[in-house]
Amino acid sequence: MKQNPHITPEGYFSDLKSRLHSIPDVQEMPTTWQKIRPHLALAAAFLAIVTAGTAILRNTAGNPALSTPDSLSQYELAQLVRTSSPYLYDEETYDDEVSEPTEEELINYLISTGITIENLEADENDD
Amino acid sequence: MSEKEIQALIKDGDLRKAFDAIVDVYSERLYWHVRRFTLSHEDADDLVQDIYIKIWNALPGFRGDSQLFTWIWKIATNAALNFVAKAKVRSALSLSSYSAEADRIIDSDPWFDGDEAQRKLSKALSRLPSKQRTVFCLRYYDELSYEEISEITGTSVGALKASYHFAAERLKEYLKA
Repeated sequence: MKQNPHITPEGYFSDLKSRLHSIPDVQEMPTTWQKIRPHLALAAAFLAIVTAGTAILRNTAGNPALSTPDSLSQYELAQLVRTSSPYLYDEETYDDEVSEPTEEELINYLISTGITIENLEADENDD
Repeated sequence: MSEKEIQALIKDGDLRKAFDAIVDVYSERLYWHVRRFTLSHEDADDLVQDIYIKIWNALPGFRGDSQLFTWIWKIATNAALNFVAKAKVRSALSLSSYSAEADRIIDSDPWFDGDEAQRKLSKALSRLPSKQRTVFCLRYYDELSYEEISEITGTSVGALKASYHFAAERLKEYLKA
């Protein structure tokens, strides 16, 4: 089973050897410059990307015209940008102190939540 | 010429003479090693030339840290595995399978002179994962030690033994079927 089932053309190996012996005649050994050239090219490309990226960031990051759109007021910006805390953008509209609800607001709240007067009285008695 | 003599030539900077000696000593054995991966004679012929060009270009960098033989076999095995990987991609792109393509090459190879069992073994070998195929070929056909195979493949001896075991089991299963 370990016998080699493959064969080669007659005289193949002497022909192969003569072809292989001629490799150094046609294949010049790479010079040091040829060996390091691809690495230098890669390093130069990396440097160019870093330089271009730094230049772009420097020209754009510190420019207020690009970082804050002056054509939009803060209120307009708040309308455009979805946020869970709208008063982050419009502090004047929302006072820090919560105003007392009116009687009508309380009635509407009780109707909508289904709490009866009896429930409220029972809670007060518990307290 | 012995391996030590060739290494001495490299150390002395006589690269041309060392290369000629490498051709004389290893080319035939290297051809058979490569042929087990390429399957066809024509592809093996091309690949052996590519490998020797690589050896010639890399020869100034050989420092003698490893055996010359394992250094050469490392270059050859990597080239052979690259060849198989490309063949697998070509098969996938043509919506075929590599094993079907390997079967076609083995069946139509005019330079195959084995019996039916050997034909089946060649087909079974082509179905092994690359790592198992490499270990099996190096151990079974090239009769290298696990330590030498470890140096060539960069895999631990324990992992190689496991790979060889799995390869042998798979081959047995395929040959029984």
